Amino acid sequence: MGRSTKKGPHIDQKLLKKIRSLDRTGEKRVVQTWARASVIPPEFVGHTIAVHNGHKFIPVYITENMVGHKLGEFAFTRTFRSHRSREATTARKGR
Amino acid sequence: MKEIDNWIEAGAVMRPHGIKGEVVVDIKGDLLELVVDGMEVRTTTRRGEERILVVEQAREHKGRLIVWFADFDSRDAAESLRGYTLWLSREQVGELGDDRWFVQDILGVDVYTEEGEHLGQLAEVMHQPANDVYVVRGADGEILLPATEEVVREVDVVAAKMVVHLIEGLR
Repeated sequence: MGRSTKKGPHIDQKLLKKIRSLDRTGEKRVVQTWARASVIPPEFVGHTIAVHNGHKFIPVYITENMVGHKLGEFAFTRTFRSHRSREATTARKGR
Repeated sequence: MKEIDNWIEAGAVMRPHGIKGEVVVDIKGDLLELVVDGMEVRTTTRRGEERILVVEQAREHKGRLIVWFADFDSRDAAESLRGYTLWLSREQVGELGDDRWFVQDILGVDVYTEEGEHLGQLAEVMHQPANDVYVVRGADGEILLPATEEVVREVDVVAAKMVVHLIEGLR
C-alpha cells in the first residue's frame, strides 16, 4: 500500500533545514546524511549530499532529474565484486 | 609521467555457449556495441600469450556478448578460449569526449587540491547511479570524491595528475 497523499512525500526535515540554511548563506558544503528514505525535493538540486550506504558516505550530486526519487537509490549498499571494472570509461558530470 | 597503453581491456571469455563454438564474453558495458562482426581483437591468456582473433559473429545476450570467433567450430575449440582477456585498441574505441577518461588511465594518478596539497592516489573508481565516485587513498586515509565539474577541475593523464576543488565536508 502506498503512502497517503494527504501526508505528502517523506522529506527528512533535518536535512531540508540544513540545505535551506546553505541556500540562505550561499555556502558550499557537503551534507552527510543517513536519511536514505528521504525523497529529493527541488531544493536539493545543485547540492552534493553524502548518503550513507551502511559503510561509507557516498557523495551524490543532485540534479533535476533526481527530484522525486529517494536518496538511497543513488548510493548502492552492495558492491558487485569482479576481477575487473564494469565500465571501461569514467565521466565527469556537468553542473 | 605515466605510460599510456594502446590497448583497452574490453572483457574476458567466460565459458562456451552451445555446441557450435560460440563463447560468452563478459564485456564492459560501455564497449558492448563496439565489438562487431568481422573485426579483429587482441586476446591474451593469463600466461601472457597473445593471439589475434577474428570475430565471425557477435550478438548481445543479457548484458553479455555471445561471440563466435573464426576457426572455432566446436564446443571443444571454444573451451580452449576460456579465461582469455579481450583487448581493443584505442583506434577501435575512438576518441572520448572532453570529460571522459579510460578508468585504466586515471587509476594511480596523483590527486592534488587547488592549493597544491597532495591528497593521495586515485585507487578506485566506483560507478554509482548519480555520478562516478573517485576513491583517493593517501597518508590521511581515504577520501571519496564525486566526479563532478565542481570537484574534479583538471585531469592530466600523461602527467598522472588530477587537481580537485575540495568542498568542505568531503574530507
